[in-house]
Amino acid sequence: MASEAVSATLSVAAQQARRRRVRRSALLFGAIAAAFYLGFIVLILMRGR
Amino acid sequence: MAEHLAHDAAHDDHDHKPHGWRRWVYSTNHKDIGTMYLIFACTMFFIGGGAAMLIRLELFKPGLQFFDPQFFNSLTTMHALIMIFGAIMPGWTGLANWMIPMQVGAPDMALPRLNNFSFWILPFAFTLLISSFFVPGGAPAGGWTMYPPLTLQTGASFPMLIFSIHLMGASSILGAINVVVTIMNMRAPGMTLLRMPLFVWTWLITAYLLIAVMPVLAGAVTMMLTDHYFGTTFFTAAGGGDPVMFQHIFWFFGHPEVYILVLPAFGIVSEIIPTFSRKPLFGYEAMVYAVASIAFLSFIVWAHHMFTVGMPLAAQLFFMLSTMLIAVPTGVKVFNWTATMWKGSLSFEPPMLFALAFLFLFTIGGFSGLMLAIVPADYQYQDTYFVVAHFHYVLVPGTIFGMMAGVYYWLPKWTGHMYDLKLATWHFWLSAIFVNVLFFPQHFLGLAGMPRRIPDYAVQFADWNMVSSLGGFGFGLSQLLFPYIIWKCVRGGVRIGNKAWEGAHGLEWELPSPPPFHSWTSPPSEAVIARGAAH
Repeated sequence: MASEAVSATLSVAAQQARRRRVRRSALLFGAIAAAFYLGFIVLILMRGR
Repeated sequence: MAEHLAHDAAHDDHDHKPHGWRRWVYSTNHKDIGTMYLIFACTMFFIGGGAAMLIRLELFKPGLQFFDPQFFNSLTTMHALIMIFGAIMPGWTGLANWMIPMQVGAPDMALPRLNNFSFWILPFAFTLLISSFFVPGGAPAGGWTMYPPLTLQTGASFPMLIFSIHLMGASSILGAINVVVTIMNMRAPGMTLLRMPLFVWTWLITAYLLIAVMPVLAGAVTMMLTDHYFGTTFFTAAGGGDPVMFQHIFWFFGHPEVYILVLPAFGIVSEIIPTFSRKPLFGYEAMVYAVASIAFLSFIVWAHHMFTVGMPLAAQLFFMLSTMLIAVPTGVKVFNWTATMWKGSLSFEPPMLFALAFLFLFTIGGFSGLMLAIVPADYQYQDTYFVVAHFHYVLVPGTIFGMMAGVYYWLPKWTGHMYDLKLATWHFWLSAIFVNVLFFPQHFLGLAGMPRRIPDYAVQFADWNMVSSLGGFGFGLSQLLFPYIIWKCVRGGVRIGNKAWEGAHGLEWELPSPPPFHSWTSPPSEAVIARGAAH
């Protein structure tokens, strides 16, 4: 493994960019989940009016 | 920040493994968290299985034998909740934790602290749920579907049920976010989407399903909670609410949930069959598109679970036909698995045996699903043991066998030892025989009209119930072999090299066995990735 698992170790800048991407996409999917949760409750409330 | 990252990089090769209880409680390591998920799932499997054995004990003979009907209903409800949310879902998350970083060339999951948090929610959720057996009125008994108005009449255990469902849902959503974010952001350079192993693909799609539907279940039970305690009438007909609406919302979650439970098994079988056929997977891209199609279709078929509530003819036709459409991508998968084996150099080690049993028996579950999709037929089958037989064929030899196949496939990688193949083969044959003795007669019982969720039944159903119960005891007892085989393997055995199986491909087999505490501290090279992605 050590001999072949060489190539591109990520640069510090690339790691920072990846951390930003990770944080952004985690927040995005969290927001989608929250939207499904609240969306269905609102949907039922609207239907009941 | 930059200095911090540079410091991290400089220490990447150090083994920061903590020791003692801190290693587990504070763990942010994907393998340790994966191990905890798997141990938790196995524990829940035996608790849920214990409830199933009690159910079969009561049904061994007609008449009330051991339990009062309320407790029997609690057993069926808790068996389902524990098996679905406690055994199968955490089991898949455990396998995802172990395998996804290794398979995509990542050092760990993208969000390790969130990973720790999403695991540690679960013991609290299930302690709360299981302890509801000991409160006045007993555990929830309204079925795992929690339909109002029945479930709204639950006693002191009602808030325990609702809170534990919320906790399980939160754990699943956080775990799913972690999986998606890991796969989308942490793949090694050169690991393109269409080079990913099928297990990673199926988990990616499963995670999308989880993010979409678990919040819907959470919303439904939140509304139940407010109906019970805050005077709202979302689902209470007396106040203008609609109990059938709950069924629609529940099954909007519930049907994709079936695929959440089974898609990772598709991925595992797609890894195992090529390995033990010594051939690349037939139609890799078709398999990916088939899984995506199944996931999409799973959102538009929910009302086939509730044809008998009454709905317009157009709706009945739509849900019947869309359900039948699922057979097309599923057929593609079954065809491709069979075509992979065609003229292959087959061998039948325990993972392959479990994968083949999955293939045959899951297909039986699929066929009975097609029968249930036909509206006029469903009117007859609804709430009979035929439905019980159908979904147990999907979930036991489907999901559970798929998970066992995965554990037997990767266990040598995890431990560095080969397990006792003879004992594992015994485990397979006992499971495969008894699972059919247990569930196949339930088709006959259902077609003869035996209703589900009853502790007593008419005498004409006695013979097949006795056979089914004997199968249940045999299946339950034979599962004790599984933890024993794992424990024995963890303690020692024949040492293996990087590859446990000579036909295996994939990045995980490029790592030593057992893999180091941090898997891919530097990304694998293009050559290693190309060798691993031999499909």
